Amino acid sequence: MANNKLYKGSLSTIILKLLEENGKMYGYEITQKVKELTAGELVITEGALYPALHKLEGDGFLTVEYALVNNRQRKYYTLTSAGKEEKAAKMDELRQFVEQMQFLLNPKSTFNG
Amino acid sequence: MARVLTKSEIDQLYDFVAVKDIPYYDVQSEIVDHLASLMEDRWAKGSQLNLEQMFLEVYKEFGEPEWREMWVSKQKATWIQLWLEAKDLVMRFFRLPLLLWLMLAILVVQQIVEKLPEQLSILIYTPLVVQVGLLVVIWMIYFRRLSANRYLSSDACIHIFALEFWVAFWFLRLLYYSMGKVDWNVWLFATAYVLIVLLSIVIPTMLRIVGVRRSIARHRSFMKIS
Repeated sequence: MANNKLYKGSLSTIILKLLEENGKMYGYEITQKVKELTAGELVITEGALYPALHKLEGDGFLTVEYALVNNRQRKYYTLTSAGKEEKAAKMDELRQFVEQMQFLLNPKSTFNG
Repeated sequence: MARVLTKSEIDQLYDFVAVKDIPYYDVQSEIVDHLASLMEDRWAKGSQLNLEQMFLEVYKEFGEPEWREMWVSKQKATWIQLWLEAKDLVMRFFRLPLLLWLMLAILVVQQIVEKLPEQLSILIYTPLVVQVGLLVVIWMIYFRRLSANRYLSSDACIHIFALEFWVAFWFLRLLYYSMGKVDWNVWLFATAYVLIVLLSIVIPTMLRIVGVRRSIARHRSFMKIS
């Protein structure tokens, strides 16, 4: 997808937000949830998702637990308290970015309200 | 009912992932679960492909660079995580309750020993012998854990540290008295003591890092579900 490049910088924010809303999730579930929410417009590749998850886990924003599902181990990710704070900060950052982009791309509508 | 991969089919996926030189077991598990979920999803949606055809299809989508990317990122994250944990562990040694208790205990024992009559001086040596013995036993237990690819808990590291700290104290104290309390020796022993204390922190911390890393890399049962 051409617009995937725009989403890439926000991948960790998307992951943190999804985990906050859904409690615990595993990698494949995250890719499917994103696909479902964006009606297939955004496809997160494994090569982007797992490094982002590992980084968030390494930074202490996610904690993991394992469960035996359908004859295999499944790794579930959950937000830590530091992760919740990080999510709030990232969301603020993203909101500001969107506002600034709106202002830059469509200044008249912003002035007119 | 939708087709679910059997235990032996999952093992085949593990074997395939292991051949791809992915060293971390939890990354292997993550890839296996991802591939298996993808395959099962397609069967659930009505695909008629057999196991081999389905695997080739999802593997082609997954792509070679994605595999590498996954374990390299895990490697980086593991190191960051371990060093953060090591930093936290080292900071735990310097927290007030532990240091205060150790110093208080040393002071109390020191005072008791000072006031002991000459004929009871054997009591000075007894704690050292007991503690060295304890240290040897604890080291043996921990080395067995390490050789079985298990890692030390941070509490175990603190115990080793406290014991090494005590042994070093008694050893240096005895050495100091046996050398006849020469003034310049005070500085020499103080330096030696600080070095030993630092080493007492470094050794268990490094053992934990190496143990955790080895466990993540090699040992499947490390994450076995109870």
